[in-house]
Amino acid sequence: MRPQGLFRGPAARIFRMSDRQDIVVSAPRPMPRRAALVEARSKLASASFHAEPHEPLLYAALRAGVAVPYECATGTCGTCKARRLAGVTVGDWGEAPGKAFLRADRDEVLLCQTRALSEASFEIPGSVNLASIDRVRPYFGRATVSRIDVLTPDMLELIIELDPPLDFDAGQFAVLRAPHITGYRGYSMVNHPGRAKQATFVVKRKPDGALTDWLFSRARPGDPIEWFGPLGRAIFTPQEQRTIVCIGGGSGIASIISILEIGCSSRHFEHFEAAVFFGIRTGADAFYLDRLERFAQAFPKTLTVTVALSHDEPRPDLSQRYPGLKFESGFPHEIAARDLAGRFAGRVAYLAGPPVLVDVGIRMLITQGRLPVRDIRYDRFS
Amino acid sequence: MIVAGIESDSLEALRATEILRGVAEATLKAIAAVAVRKKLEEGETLYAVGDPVRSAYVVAAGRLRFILGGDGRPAARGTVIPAGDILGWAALLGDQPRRIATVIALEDCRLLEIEGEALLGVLERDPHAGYLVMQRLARMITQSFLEQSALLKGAT
Repeated sequence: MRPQGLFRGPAARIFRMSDRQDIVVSAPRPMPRRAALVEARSKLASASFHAEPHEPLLYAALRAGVAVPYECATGTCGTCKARRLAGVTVGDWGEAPGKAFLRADRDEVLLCQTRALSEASFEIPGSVNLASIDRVRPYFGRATVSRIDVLTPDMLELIIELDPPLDFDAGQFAVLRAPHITGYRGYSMVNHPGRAKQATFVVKRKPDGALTDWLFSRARPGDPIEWFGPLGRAIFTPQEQRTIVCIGGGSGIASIISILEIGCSSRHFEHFEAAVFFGIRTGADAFYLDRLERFAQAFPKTLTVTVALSHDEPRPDLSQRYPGLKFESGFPHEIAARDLAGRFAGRVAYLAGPPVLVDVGIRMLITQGRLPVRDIRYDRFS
Repeated sequence: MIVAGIESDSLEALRATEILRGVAEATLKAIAAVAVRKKLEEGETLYAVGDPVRSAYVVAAGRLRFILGGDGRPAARGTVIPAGDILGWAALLGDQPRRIATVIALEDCRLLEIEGEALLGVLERDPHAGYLVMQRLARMITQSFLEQSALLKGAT
């Protein structure tokens, strides 16, 4: 809960206002709403940065080029765990799943769910080098909803106008927040990477999800959205000059579309093969097939796209309508293992989608594909 | 305290390990004799994806984080392994030469490192214990397979 009316000064006293909130009161001088100086230390390095009172400490660190480890940036994975050594902080999401990795008796917090109300100091576990190597440091921006298109009964495409533009690489994601809904949610950019004035996202309806409920039922063009990005390191750049394999399930196809956009526009696929495996439940859950068909038609010799139906047999009319795509029954990682058996070597693999699909994909790529870990890229932020 | 050359806390840790429940005291002592005590500081990596598989580990104290896959960064969703669990049991399977997961200490931990071949040697000499351990291992693998299948079915 966010403390309201916080004051500080000499001879402070604590009044218990309710069971869940302590307010420190002294002289009637409001605490200045200014950035707090925050120190982060690991065994290898230390760094300091300023954090605005409204921003999660993880975002403040990344914005300042302090490479605190993170994965989801939204309270789920627990990767941004740190121990508070000093300072007054407030936590935003009491039930964050990532708290399973914390010990309250050691004053551990998730930096993506914690804001600083005073100067503060944190210890990051492990030997972490805090120097950022990101091409673009993430930053905050505002946006307005431009369009919302329903793709399937539980999937929609959200297009927003960005101010300022979002500079990102293919495979990255941003976190979005509606001003009237607490907390950020992560979504991959679908569109061509670069300095984009408009961003497209695929949003899957979540049971009891406040943001998705709003997007599916009440959001309208012109509605404001706040964002922070770009985030994630599962990046594709044509400069690497590598053959690739992409395995995505459901909304995970978003970042793969972005990879295909830059791969096609840069003519990367004239020289390097790409095998894409897109997992959906049934034919009725299919979306973006027109786009995938366009990519496959552009590079028929080097770019193969297989749509894997996990709970359905492919209907003949799908193959007739999309002759550039292959349709098969099964899970995408299983079909990839079979189709690319003996041909994984040298590829960079991109995985996206539900965490369990990413997990089994990793297992397959390590055990059957024999890919080195450095060539398996993914960001789990569902 | 030393029990006939074996650290009693090692024996205590083995007694508290679920996969070894019901194993005879003499066999636990034989396992303790081949076990090496190991300390891990918070944030330290026990093993990483791609590392050679040699040993299994009994968690005597502390919690670790199991991360399937991983790309060298300490950054991925994972599972918490508490005291009393065994991890790295690929060392007992023989056909798994490389780790497919990364394990990082969530806090300061005490572990018992038991070389896979040495543990299999002890279990061969006590077939009842070998049967118990392999039965539980099979159950763990099946459980993990079933959970993953169920999750996959609901995922896409």
